[in-house]
Amino acid sequence: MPSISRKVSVWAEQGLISRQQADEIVAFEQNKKPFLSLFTVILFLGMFSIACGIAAIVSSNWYSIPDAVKLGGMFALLIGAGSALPVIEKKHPVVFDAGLFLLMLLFFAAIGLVGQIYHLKSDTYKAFLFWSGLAFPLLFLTKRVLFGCIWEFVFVCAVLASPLGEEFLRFVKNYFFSSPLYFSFLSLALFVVLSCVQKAELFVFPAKAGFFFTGLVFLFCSRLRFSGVHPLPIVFYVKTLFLLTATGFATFVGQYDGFSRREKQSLWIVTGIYALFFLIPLAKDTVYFSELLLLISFIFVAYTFRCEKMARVLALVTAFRILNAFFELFGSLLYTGFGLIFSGLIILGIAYGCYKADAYLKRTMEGQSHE
Amino acid sequence: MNKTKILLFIPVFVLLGWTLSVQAMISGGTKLDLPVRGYDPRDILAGHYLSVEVDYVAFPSDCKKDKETKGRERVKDREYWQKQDAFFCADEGRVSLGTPENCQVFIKGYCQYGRFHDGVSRFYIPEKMSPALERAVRNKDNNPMLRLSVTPDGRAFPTDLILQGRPFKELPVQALLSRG
Repeated sequence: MPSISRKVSVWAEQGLISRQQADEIVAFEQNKKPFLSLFTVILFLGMFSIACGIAAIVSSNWYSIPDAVKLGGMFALLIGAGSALPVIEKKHPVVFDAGLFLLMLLFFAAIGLVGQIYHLKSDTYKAFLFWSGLAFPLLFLTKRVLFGCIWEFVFVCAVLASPLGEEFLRFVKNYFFSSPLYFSFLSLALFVVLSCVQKAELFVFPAKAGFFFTGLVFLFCSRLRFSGVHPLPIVFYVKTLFLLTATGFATFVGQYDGFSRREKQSLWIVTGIYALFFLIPLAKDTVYFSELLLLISFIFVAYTFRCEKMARVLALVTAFRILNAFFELFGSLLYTGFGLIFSGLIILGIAYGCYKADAYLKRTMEGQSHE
Repeated sequence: MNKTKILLFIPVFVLLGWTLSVQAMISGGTKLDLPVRGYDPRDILAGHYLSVEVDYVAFPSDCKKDKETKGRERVKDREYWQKQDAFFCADEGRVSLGTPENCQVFIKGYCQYGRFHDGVSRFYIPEKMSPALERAVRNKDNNPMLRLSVTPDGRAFPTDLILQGRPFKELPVQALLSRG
């Protein structure tokens, strides 16, 4: 509380808010019920101790407990949770979300319990798929993206572990080694397309994050296309697929009204760079430059879209990639004192360059926004 | 009933329905005791269980024909490693290829590598008893058997582990240890 009073006083002195507003803010904060108070902490400790005791007694006598009692207890817990959560949904949204999370864990426990009692043998992916089906309705009761991330992660892993998923991974592996660049472009194109979707944030955000991550991973694996000999039909097939994907993406960008002219141009430039490096023959040792150029173009696109956080993340990734390449080439220098000094100077140089580039891009973007 | 309650109770009812269906299948199935062989791995997610297999070696089996003819000849119609639909007919005490006909009680499975696999492989046991039970199952003197509940469509569910003619829970641990 003293911290908010201090902050508010400073704001009032600086003229950001009036003295009356400052007093109202302090009064509002003082009247708020704190989440953590001495009472709630003691209450939590007591409940936690009781819960641990119950768990200890149940687990040590697990096999003495009749199966009907175990099942009855589990379903009583599930029904109790299902009945209690609607009551607190409006009054305590944070507790409601915590309850939803616990309910999702209870579904796992229930699947395991039934499997144990009836000695069921099943592939693990089936259990996770079943859990995904059970937990799906709960996703419509919350806006927290974390739930969507957890659900999608479990669901995607379960699908990939299934026979269908294994077939898909085999297919990707066969084509991946001939063209990781294509999958990088595809992932990032899907990332951009999903960014245009405003609804269902719970499902869209994890998918976007996944595509962004896989796009970068495939980009860094681009030198793998030089390992082994790839059949000509596969190379031809992937090139055709790339051209179709690039054309489709460029058309979508052109047609979509939500992008400004600059934003469209930035996306077309990135598509063009991908096409250039996809079609021209690069050697294994020079593929690094294509990675670097693409990373820099991503930073440019991020700034064009005014996503400063993403631009910073990409700048960090680029800096590490440069450092990684530097140490691959000159790693042996680290064994010497002069080598360490030289490496340190390089790192400082990169940091300074990033700082300057960041400032330049910010100024440029601010200039554009004023236009 | 508001939207929240509906969405919360749908998965609960699905779980309840699944549990009741499994219980109904097991309760309505035909009880069958078959000899087993087993070992004891640990499954972090599933708790302690014996990994058991019904020992179909003692029964006449069409699966064995694949193994016997394997040698240097290539089996043209079916590869030794490929799964082939098969079933164990409890009435005749025989493993046959294909789909069951004229068999009242049968367990569906497949032949692979010259052996019949019925999909039954886990039996959950108390952790404290696992070393003793593992030894007891390996000891033929205990005549270890798995009691199965077999549904009309050929699915088998283990319901009990039989040692010395009795369910293992009825035996004192010391008896298992001395015999094991």
